[in-house]
Amino acid sequence: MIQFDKVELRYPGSPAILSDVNFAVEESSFQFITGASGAGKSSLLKLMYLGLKPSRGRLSLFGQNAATIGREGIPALRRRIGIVFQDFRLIPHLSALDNVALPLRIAGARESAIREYVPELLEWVGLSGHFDALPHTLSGGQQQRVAIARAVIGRPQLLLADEPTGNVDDGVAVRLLYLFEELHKMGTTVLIATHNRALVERFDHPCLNVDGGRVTRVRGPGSRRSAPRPVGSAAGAAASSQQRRGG
Amino acid sequence: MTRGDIPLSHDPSARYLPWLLGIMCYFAVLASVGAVISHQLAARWDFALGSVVTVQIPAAVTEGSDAPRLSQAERMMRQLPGILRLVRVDTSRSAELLAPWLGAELAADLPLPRLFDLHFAAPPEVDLEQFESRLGELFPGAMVEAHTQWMSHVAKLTRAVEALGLTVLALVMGASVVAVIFAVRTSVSIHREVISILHLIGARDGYIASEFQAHVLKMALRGGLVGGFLAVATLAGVAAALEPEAVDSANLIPTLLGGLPAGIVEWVLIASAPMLVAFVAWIAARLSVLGALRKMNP
Ligand SMILES: Nc1ncnc2c1ncn2[C@@H]1O[C@H](COP(=O)(O)OP(=O)(O)O)[C@@H](O)[C@H]1O
Ligand SMILES: [Mg+2]
Repeated sequence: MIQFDKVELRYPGSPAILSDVNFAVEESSFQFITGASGAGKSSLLKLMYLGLKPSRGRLSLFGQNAATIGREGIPALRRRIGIVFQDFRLIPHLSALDNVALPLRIAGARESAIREYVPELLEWVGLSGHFDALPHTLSGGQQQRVAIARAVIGRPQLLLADEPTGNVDDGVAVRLLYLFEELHKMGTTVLIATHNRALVERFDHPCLNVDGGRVTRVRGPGSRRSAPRPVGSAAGAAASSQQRRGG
Repeated sequence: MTRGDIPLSHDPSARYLPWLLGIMCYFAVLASVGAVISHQLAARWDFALGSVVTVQIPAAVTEGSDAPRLSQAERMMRQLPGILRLVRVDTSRSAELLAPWLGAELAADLPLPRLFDLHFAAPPEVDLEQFESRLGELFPGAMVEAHTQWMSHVAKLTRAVEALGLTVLALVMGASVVAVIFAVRTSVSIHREVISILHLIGARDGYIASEFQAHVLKMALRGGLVGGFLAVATLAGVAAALEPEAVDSANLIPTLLGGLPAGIVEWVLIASAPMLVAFVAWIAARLSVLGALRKMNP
């Protein structure tokens, strides 16, 4: 589904944030991306939703070369991706309900469908009493849950979540991860960036680590603990998918 | 109409654009009324003046002494091809017209020439000079005068007024377009953040643009309604102010008033001026917002 090939990323006027990044994200997989703050997790996700283009190397998304996707092609691609931004990016003048409804409205969904699904999901993430609340009247954790609801409402093929549990206590964090797992069971590919190692340890999912501009696989699929090892090539990706099929 | 994904109704442009477009519509209506009236007048005068020929026959030495010759001249006039009507202008009326200058008595005694208005269905194709010389054999000094000269001046004037009206209309459109472009660009930069969120969750430029378009259309229609209403009120006021004088002054003003468009077609044209402004504003909004969005990262 996603394939990084010798990808390098640098912001204008600064050294490379990511270099020689090689890994693949298999369809219907569930992976964590860990790394210290400032390591480049958000930047890595940004590449995956075409918020940035690689400075070098080749990135392919849904079988398309990111470099050849023009302005016209981006919206269609983004509708297949749900994004939970680290800073939420809620629209300040819209209620929680309208913020969550937005992806459906953009996709041209019927209002009756919106009235059915949106409140249901908001209840699920524990915001029953806050349908009409504006983002600034909600706590950080509540805003985060609105952002998550908005990302998953359209049942995207790919979910990119950037520190989705950064502002909630552990109980809520685990509950939100169960939501992602539900989505995963329905076929969504899930990628969660987090610096919370403890959380990662509670779930048995493969894990990528970003450090020093490199991306390495620290935990293969289905194996609880394994030594960090680089996933340098398609062979590595093939091996890991092999392993997954085996497990 | 607007979904309200972008809070455009709080932008500065939401305060001034309806007024501005209202004023534009006001001028658009006045300009199109001007154009319609002068277009109609031009057509009417083409007909009225272009088809009237005045024949002037010198006064008889004594009243009625040339009656046979006069009736022969009248027969000649009636036989002209294309003639509809022959109207003898009452000489006493001519005397009345002169009375203020000459005094009533002198004017009554004056040997006034006899005047005939020859009405044709269309501008006459007769050779009027030749007709004048034929009449001259009966009445030396007879004069045949087509009104084409005067008419062509009037026609030029009305055409000029019509062109002026259309020019004003075009300028109003141009100014509206510029105003809308600036307002939309400002709004786009005010809402950069919201727009980028919409982009990130998969909104197409067209979806975002439609938000701006609907907003501009709403403002333009609101302004247009007020501007159009005030323009019609102005016209009604002008007409009411002119009416009393119109009765006893020369023919021009009644004709002008008669030219005040009353037909359905004219009213539709006038009503469409604000619509046209709104439509142009709407198109301008779409094009400028799409242009501004293309400069942003998707
Ligand atoms: N827009 C940007 N322009 C320049 N540098 C940036 C920008 N965004 C992030 N960076 C830098 O890139 C590095 C990685 O940032 P980020 O991807 O946000 O890391 P993480 O999400 O792992 O904390 C940081 O050093 C940060 O300062
Ligand atoms: Mg980050």
